[in-house]
Amino acid sequence: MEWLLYNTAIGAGGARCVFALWRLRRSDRGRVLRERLSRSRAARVSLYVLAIYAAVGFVALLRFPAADGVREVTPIDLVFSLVPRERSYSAPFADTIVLAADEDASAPENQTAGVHPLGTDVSGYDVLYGVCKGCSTALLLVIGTMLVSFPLGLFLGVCAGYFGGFVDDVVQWLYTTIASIPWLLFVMAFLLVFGRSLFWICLAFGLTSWVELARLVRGETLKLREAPYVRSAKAIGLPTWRILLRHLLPNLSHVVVITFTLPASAIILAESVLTFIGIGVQAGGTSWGRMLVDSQVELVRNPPIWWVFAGASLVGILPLVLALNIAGDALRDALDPRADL
Amino acid sequence: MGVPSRHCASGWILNVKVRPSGLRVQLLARSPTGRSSVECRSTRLWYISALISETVAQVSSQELSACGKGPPQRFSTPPRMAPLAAIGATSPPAATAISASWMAGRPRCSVFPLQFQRHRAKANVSSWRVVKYFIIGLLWAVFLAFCLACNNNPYPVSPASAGVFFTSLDENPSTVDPQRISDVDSHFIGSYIHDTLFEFHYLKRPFQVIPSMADAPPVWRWRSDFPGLAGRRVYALRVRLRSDLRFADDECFATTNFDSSSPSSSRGSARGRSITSDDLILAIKRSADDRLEPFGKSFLMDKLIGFREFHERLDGAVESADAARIAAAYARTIAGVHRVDERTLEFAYAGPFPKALYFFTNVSSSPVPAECLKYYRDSYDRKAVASGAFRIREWRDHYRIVLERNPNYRTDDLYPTEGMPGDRERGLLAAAGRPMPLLNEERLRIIKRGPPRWRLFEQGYLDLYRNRLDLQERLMQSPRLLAAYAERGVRKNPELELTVFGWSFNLKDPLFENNPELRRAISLIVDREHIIELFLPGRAIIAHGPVPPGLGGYDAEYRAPYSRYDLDEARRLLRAAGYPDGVDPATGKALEIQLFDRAAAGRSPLYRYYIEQFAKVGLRLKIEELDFPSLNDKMHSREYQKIHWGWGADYPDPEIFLQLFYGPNADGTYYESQYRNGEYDALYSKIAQMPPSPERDALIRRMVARLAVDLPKVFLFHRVSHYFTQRWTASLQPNPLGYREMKYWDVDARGRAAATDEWNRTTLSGYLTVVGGAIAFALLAWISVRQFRARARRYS
Amino acid sequence: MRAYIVRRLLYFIPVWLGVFLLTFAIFHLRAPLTLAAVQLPQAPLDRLQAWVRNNVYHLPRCFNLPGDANIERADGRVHPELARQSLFHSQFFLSAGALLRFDLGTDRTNKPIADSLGERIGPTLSIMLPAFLLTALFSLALALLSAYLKDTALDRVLVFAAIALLSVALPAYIIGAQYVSEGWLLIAHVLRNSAVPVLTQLSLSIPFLITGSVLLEQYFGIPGMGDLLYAGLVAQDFQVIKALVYLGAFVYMLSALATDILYAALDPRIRLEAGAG
Repeated sequence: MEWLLYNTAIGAGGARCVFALWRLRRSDRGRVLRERLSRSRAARVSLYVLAIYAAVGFVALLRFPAADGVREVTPIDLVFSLVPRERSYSAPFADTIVLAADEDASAPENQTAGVHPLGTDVSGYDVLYGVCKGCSTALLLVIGTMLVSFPLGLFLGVCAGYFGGFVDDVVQWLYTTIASIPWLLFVMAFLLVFGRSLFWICLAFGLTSWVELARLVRGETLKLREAPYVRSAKAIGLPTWRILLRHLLPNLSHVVVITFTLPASAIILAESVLTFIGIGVQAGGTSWGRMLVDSQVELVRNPPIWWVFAGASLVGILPLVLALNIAGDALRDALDPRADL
Repeated sequence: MGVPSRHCASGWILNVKVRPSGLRVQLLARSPTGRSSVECRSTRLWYISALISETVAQVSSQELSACGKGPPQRFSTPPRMAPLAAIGATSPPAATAISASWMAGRPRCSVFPLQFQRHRAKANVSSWRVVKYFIIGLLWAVFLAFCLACNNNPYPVSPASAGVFFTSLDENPSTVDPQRISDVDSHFIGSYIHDTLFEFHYLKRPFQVIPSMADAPPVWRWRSDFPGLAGRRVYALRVRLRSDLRFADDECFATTNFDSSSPSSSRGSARGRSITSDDLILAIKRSADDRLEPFGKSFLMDKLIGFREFHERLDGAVESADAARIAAAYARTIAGVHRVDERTLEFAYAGPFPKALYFFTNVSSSPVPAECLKYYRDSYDRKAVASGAFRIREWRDHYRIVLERNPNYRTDDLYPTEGMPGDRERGLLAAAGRPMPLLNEERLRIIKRGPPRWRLFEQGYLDLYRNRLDLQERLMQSPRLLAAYAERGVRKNPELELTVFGWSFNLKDPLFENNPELRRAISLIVDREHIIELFLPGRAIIAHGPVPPGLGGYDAEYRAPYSRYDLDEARRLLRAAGYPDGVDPATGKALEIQLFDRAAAGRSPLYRYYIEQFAKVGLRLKIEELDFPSLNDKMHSREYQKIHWGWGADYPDPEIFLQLFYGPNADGTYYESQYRNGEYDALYSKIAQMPPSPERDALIRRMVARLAVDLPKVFLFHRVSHYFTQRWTASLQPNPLGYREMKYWDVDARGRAAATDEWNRTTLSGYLTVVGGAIAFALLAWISVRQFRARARRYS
Repeated sequence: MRAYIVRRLLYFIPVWLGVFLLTFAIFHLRAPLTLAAVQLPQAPLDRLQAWVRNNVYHLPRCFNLPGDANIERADGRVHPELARQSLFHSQFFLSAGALLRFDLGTDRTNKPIADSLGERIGPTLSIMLPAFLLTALFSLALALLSAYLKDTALDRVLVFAAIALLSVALPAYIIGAQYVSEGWLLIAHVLRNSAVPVLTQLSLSIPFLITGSVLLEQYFGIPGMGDLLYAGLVAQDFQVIKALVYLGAFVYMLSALATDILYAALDPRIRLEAGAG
């Protein structure tokens, strides 16, 4: 029963996002945005790439109870159950599994049953399968972190900018303090004490990444504070919270979007570092960082088993982070209200 | 505005001028026609990138205006390239100050038509210079880095050094105090630096005990006239130490050695003194001291007469924390130890325990000089004074250990002259008759991860590679690698380890306590052959019981009833155990079982396999990884449901493995699973007193069968590991007990130097890469400059 | 100028206080028994309680009020001797006192952490300083080159390369480069850090050097600070991690201080403002 609720919730969330994007596309603002973005082909491609990753990651979040009643399966599992599973490692597009010196390449049991563009890992699962599963972890991490950092950053940044004075000082002190501790050490200490599940990782990341957003929001709020419509709203006597919510926040949305992409890429990279060090996703979990860690031993062989490593980094992490950076740059340029070229 | 289109493009020429006073930076950009120019000035050197972008922005706006796209603009807001947040706004005071100064010092630009054409050539030159210097600096940096990469010798000594052996350790040893040594890396180092009464013959199998510090092979006999134990029948050993034994030189001896030639000096020489019986007796007494967590305690407890009494008295004194009482307890004699004279000792045992003899081959029986113990006190873990073939010259934690030949070592420890058939052909007798140690120095680097270790070995910087935990065998058998081995002369020596690994159940845990069916079911759901084939190829054989092959009582034909793969039977057993289809009736969900294991890279696929297998019968397996000290801790404190635990032999007797299930060991460290079975215990007491014989083996087989049915532990594998040696490393015989081998080893340093030179030469492909990269870069730069100039030319 | 520096130095204090509060919050706010369970999973209650006692978690958190002595503490015992101790005999003040005395405590093997740090700082600096300098050189060179030859082939390639370098996961770098050789590993590390072509971000790249050093040291087998961090993590040693957090924050704050003072030195405006304000 819970599966139904869970999946409906996720589905509803996804639908809402798509709907919002659709509305944006149709609106005036969206049109201007599209025009600006269409100037750079790289930006357009990046956005499509992001959409693909988001879709895959999202789909991998849905859960259904499996036939054996113990584990859950995702649509990704279902799709890849159609892909034959080999006995062990096989190179991309290879005909045989990786063989030892005394094994016969023509023996039937050493032939690969399917075509694997990224090869297979030690248990014979397609590497692409692992990459897709890692995608959902990445998506979860990003969403989780944003859920923590956005409210914090927005709220504190707006308060600091709008109220100024003591509130401003306190908020600045707060984020200077957090920024003073190197993030890796902070995250390590946090995870060591509280736990290493995805929830705590998101919380740790969120608590370190709200600083950037707060700084920018504060700067913007300082400027907007003097804007005529805010002044007049104050003059009318609107309650403060209303001014903040209805008048200031919507005009900060471009800042929010701009500070979404860069931290998102940093989070994905950070997860791989953490897993490598040992406090990220634990053994048995799936994430790109985990794939990197587990496959590194295979690289020193002769000939090396490079495709698991390459799959996780070149097909998983690199395009996503690259797309995030490029799209982020383009969005920043497109959304900057000052640019009038 | 009607300006012809050939003016509408970039091709502006930048001119950088740095004025020393106030560090003013000025950027001048002139249009191709020379008709207009932009001059931007700033007082901030730091903002040079912003300055450049500002200028460029201005230029672009000028272009646009020149092309009829709008009137010329004067920039009044800061350019985008230097967001405030990024400019070192590390603290609010700095941020406010910087933003203020930014606003004040932002690049100011003026645009005006120019007639500076005659200065153009000069402008080009000066603008290039700055950039050129940086490019040159960059190239130097790359060149330097490249040079650093030329010689990759990680050691301060050259591979050509004769008599030096390079190898590695996996972890920083915890101690070299002989009575405290328990983990593997400490055991390696400890066995190299400590000497014992007896040792095993290097080459002969089955293992033979030969004298080391003792002057004759051990002779045991039953006696009724043991001094102090008259009338009691004891199994006694008499040993006499050689006369030429000395401890290594150490400053702790200077406190007691007094130079007779100069009686006025208060400090004597640091020369190591001769080893006496008292030193050995001290070693035995220390093995009773629980404060040290002594490894040798179980060898002697209830076997050496009087040991238990001594231990209990000492324990009581320690509890009271009274120093005088402790000293008094130490001073008492142990009934079963009789000091005949300063070089002769007699030991009395309650029976023919094999452990008794093996105690004297183990490093925990190494003699300890009392004055050094007093001198070093708490740092004896690192400063232990020993009498073995080597001594520690340098020990940098977590980095390296350097051992050097001990000049005080006895001179007639000769390399064996005979061995097993075939040893001569394998080169194992090449050093026959030579005094040991054959090496002068050994350098052990502590490398905690597998890939760097392997890389060093492949480069020729390690003479020996022991692969215990990593690097799968199967892929080491790939044709290309084997060919490379053959070409380089790398030899692979298999070593049948005397180890057993498996999942130890905690029989006190309510889940497993009275539920043998559950334990049996779990044993049936892992396909051991499949695991070996996929994850441990060539690295393990299936274990049907606790005793590994090579020891008495091991039956190669025996198949334990539950060491096979049978999911249907497992399901049936689960139902019988009260968990139909793996569902826990109490919670209605899948039964959850927790397993602790040691953290190691690359285990994820194996864990995934385990989880899948458990899921096939409806169980939910949770695996938690711990580092070894924590795992050890868990084991000893019995805080687990199921733990992946391995055990290795310190001496070649099956009893080591069987003792782990012996009930009375419950309060010690050699105990697993909380298993208690009367029949097993009775059998154990019997075999513990028997010398190796077919009758003993039969009893052991019965015990193994008992364990196979009760399953306090799921026996999984016996491990096979490998030594890899280089072609310049002299042949060596791996010893599953792994100890004291260093003195038998040798290297051909010249061969090593030649090989490392050859293998670490920067390859042609390396040079090509760098040169190719440089060419590519130069090409790009040339294309870009041509594009730049073409633009300029187009509009001049 | 002097007034500015003094003000800037004074600002050190509230930030350091903030760092201390934050670290204290992380390590002391959680229920002590839960913390003990993190260190000793599945241990029985008496072992957890012993751990709580040994690590001083049985003391009151903030102030040792007279009434507190009769409360059952986290280790399940009442500690009447607490009544005899001062008001400041609490977790908070003991930690603060230790920090002020620069007492970083001992690790799980009872070795003073200060000793470990002293031994390990040399090896780490031997890698990090050259890396930092090379990074500075590279990034400046690349930035200037890129700006001068704007919109040409080289510029576009450099910009793309910069983004691409930033996008590759650090472990991939370390692993891939070490497969080639050690020198290239260092170059790869430097290149990656140079990808941020804004000069003024150099001081902010110090934390990234710390991150990289953890992995680098493992693969070079260097017994530096990164190795200490990793060892502390693996052994779940709270003291070591705490000490390294303080050290890291301290280093970072010093570098930020240096940067700000450098700005002031180069900028007459800041000096003037400080003089006026």
